[in-house]
Amino acid sequence: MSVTAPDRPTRLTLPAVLIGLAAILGAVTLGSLVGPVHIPFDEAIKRLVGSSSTLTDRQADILTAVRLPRVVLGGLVGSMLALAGASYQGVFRNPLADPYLLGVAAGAGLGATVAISAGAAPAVLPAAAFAGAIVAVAATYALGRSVRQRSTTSLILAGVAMASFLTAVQTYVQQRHTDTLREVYAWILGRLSTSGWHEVLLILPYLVIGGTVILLHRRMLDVLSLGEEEASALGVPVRRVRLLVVGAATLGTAAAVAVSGLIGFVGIIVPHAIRLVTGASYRVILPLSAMFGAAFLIIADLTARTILSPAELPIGVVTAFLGAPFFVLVLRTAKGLR
Amino acid sequence: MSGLSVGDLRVTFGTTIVLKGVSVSAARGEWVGVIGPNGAGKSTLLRAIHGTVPWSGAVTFGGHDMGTLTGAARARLAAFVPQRPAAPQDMRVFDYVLLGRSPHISYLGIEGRRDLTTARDALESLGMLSFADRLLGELSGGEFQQVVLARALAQEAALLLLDEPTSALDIGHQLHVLALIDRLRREHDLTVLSAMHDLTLAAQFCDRLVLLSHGMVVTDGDPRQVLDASLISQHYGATIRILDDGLGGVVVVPVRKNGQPANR
Repeated sequence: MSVTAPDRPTRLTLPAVLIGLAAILGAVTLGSLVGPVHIPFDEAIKRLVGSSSTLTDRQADILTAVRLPRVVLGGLVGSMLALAGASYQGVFRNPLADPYLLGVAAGAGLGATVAISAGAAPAVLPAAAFAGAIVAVAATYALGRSVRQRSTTSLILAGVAMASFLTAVQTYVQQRHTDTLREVYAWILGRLSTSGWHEVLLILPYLVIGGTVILLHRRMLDVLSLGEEEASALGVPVRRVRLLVVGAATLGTAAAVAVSGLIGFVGIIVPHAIRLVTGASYRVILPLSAMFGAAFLIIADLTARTILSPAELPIGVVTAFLGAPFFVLVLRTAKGLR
Repeated sequence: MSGLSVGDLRVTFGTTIVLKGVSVSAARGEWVGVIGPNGAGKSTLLRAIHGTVPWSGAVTFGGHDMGTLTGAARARLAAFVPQRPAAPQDMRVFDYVLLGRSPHISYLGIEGRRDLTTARDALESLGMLSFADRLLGELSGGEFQQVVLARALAQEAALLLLDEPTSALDIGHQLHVLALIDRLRREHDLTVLSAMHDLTLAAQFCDRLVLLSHGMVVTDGDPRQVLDASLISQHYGATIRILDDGLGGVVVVPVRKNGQPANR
């Protein structure tokens, strides 16, 4: 999937982009049409392009006000989590880094738990989770910078400490309000729930800003893969790159988590699967992670809401259940693909 | 263009004083070897010159005050090759060499035609163009070291700072890589400052040697003059013999403590 002329840099090629777009299109189509209410493909297309179709008002409503917003939200969240995961892995040169590394998940979890336990309106929940996530990462950063030997390792350890601490507080709050236990638990396991296009519009600005900043740093992340000293010796302002990329990834992840709860695994397996197939260049890994992360989460969400229909599985269960075997498959075959 | 001048360079890590007022110079096109026992401050000297450790004193190259330059401007003047360069296993050789162009590309910019040509020429100059599409993980130690030099060459910096450039290589590859460095500096008029462990090779390839010990310059001059048996023995804490190689150079041989060459 990468150009291999000896005097060309590895870069995103048209076939790779087309495969990515095809994956998204396929996932969006399946996600929009499959569900308890049958919607025929050709009639849905007619309706969406504005010509007359035989869809009933109810079918049309389900398509445009229920399924499409949910599919788009799933795509945005999956895209952001995969992009953020790839960025964290690049900045920290750690294959196990995921978007929740610096305490985003624990902070968002605490914010959401407090909001649910206090009986806040559902509309307040995303704001509470978002605020918790941002505060947690800011605290991790401050803690990481306060130690004498500043390094990426001290930042990661600060993240571990912060996450443990906030999870302890969250568990305490949860235990004190057992009446909302089930609701908190459901949020923590992740769920894409939409009320029309509200959530999509809510997180879109953060995702656009976060995603753009990350993609603009694709060459910088390649330089950073040489480590801090060599990158500095090549004239790269390592601290600035790290702050901007981690900041952008955190902002986007916090927004995603605010509307979807904690969806694990996407941020780790999607970038790794891409990397195994295409090689180490972030100018390929980042855009393809965004595309395949979107397709993957749309399919995972489709599975979550249909497999036990009318009941719904937490999406985090599905991402791990589908993701783990898929990843093993890529791991076993990737060397042959390259 | 004038060469490298380092005056009264001091580096402190916490409470440890690593360099205690080091002065070194290298004329344009000259290859100066920095020798000295472990912990003498050789690597720190190179790091201070390319600006990745804080220092005080004066460092100028080509008339530029290295202390006042931005990171990118400094990297356009001096290329640094660490003792063990990072080698992301699944990175393509050409992409790796292209990273050497970083100081010439704006913060969010992307390589232009000239960057691609320079990287290609650097690989070709080291006879490694046919490796352009290989992955770093597929290279041998010697091949990788050549690719690292290609990256440094692509940087188009007139000063080459090498930290033990051949420490991971066998004798044959050590000679080959050092000969390549020698050829490159002559072809591109590069000033080379390299930390060297192997004193024999240092004597054979460097125009001049600087002996560092405990963060200070002990002596500085022609290799035959610096490689004095008693001086080296004293600072390395080892008994050595300096032999004539019969070709105008010298060979430094370590000898076992009891005075007899090691044998079984």
